[in-house]
Amino acid sequence: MKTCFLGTGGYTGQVASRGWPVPPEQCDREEAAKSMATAIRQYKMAEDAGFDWVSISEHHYSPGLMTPNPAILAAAISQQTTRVKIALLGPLIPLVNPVRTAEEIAMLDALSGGRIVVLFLKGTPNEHATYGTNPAETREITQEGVELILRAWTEPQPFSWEGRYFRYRTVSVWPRTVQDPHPQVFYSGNSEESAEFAGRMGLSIAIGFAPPPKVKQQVDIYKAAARAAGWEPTHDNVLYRGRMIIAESDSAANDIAEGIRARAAPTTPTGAPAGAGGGDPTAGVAGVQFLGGPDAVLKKARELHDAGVGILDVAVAGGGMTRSMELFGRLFVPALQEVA
Amino acid sequence: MTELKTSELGEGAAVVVMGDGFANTEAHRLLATRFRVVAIDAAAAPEAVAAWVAGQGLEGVGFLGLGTSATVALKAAEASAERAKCVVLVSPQPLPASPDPIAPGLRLPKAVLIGSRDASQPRDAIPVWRRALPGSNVVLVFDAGADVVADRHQAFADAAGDFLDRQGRFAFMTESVARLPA
Repeated sequence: MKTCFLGTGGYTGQVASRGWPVPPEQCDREEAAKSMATAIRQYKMAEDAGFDWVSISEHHYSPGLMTPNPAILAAAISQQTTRVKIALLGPLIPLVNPVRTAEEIAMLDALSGGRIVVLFLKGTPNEHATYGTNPAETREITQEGVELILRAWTEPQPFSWEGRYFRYRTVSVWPRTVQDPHPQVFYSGNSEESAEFAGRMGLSIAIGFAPPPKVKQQVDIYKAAARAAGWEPTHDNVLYRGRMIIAESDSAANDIAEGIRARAAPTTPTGAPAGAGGGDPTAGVAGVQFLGGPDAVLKKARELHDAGVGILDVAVAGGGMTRSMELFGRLFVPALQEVA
Repeated sequence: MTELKTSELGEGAAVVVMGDGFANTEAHRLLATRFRVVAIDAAAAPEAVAAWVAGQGLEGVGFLGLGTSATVALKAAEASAERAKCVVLVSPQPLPASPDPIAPGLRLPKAVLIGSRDASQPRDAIPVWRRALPGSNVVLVFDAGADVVADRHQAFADAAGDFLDRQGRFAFMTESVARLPA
């Protein structure tokens, strides 16, 4: 199995209020610069710890995940790392210009020497509030946008696009992506409809936070759609996102979890849009999918592998980021590489 | 004057449409909100169409060929070179058989509209059509199959209409993007 470090790019200072959006006045300008430097340092540490990939999400108006344009942070990471794949998980298609996104990712692929992976998403309700997107249309917008981006990367001649949501009379993307025909593209596998779309379109899928039986169910739907379209996905086409607290032993991991639970506060106060929050993705422990010593964590990884997963995208916590990553690299990466 | 079976809607610059089943459709009506749109029987010969255009005294005509009438539209435009403004082919058939230009003498702005789900078009349809009609604009109509007009008549009318109106400058929008100007 491959491992992916889910970074937060989060604000390192103190913020008085939670929820969404968080008033910009709470952002100390110098702390913002320091936060970005910290994030880049963590991604470099992840490469050193043995992760195969690192990932960046798109979120808005929040100190927890300060990556409204993940391509910008990815560009910086591409210049500080040499080995890891850099996964944009992902650009939110209803919020962006898809042709511009195709151009930016093609640039990134060139900047990184062909290390870019991308997951196109429709976003959560609070993200739709960012620029006033109609939530009822986001699925159709995203699917059309994905098809447009794939065309923009692969068509060798200029063309026009007359869509339902997008209209571009000239599309002719430079540079071309280094990866031929284009970087690996993921799509959400969380719903039956999206898993079917991904299979039909020849895309990979990403599933978040679900238990292994549910993961297997989604992977089966995905694979059936792929077979109907004439191709066969492998484990490398299925990514799983989860939160992890790993320590030398189960009891040590539980102690860390207790500490986090004691510090945790509600992340979505009443009145905030559903899906709002962001913040440390390991905040609270109810949603931790990997908890324990190496054996317990490895057991869960094997269950997910058996369900079809080949890439684990994890937010690691416990005893500070440096300590967590050192533990992850020492205790988990070698064992995980044996899972196949 | 050669007698042709025609069906006409709208006012303004003339657009001659060759193809089956277009007359008095929603697509015809939509295009006719911007042009004088004359639908001509698909069986008409190119020379007959050219003669009819000349007989009507039309100038600055847009020639539009649907499906298997694409070739007729190209030839009619060639035969009406002095009176033609541009050519638009929609879901054209047959596919070019050779890599050479199919209308080398036709020096008019050209556009080709094809459906993004048109299984009859090759995977490399865009370069195929740009080789066949050098300098042409190829428009991918998202979610349309082998009959763009039937599958997405609004998209057809929008793209074809803008090209008939402004040819190569159709890449620029003319409507304001101001949401609340006052």
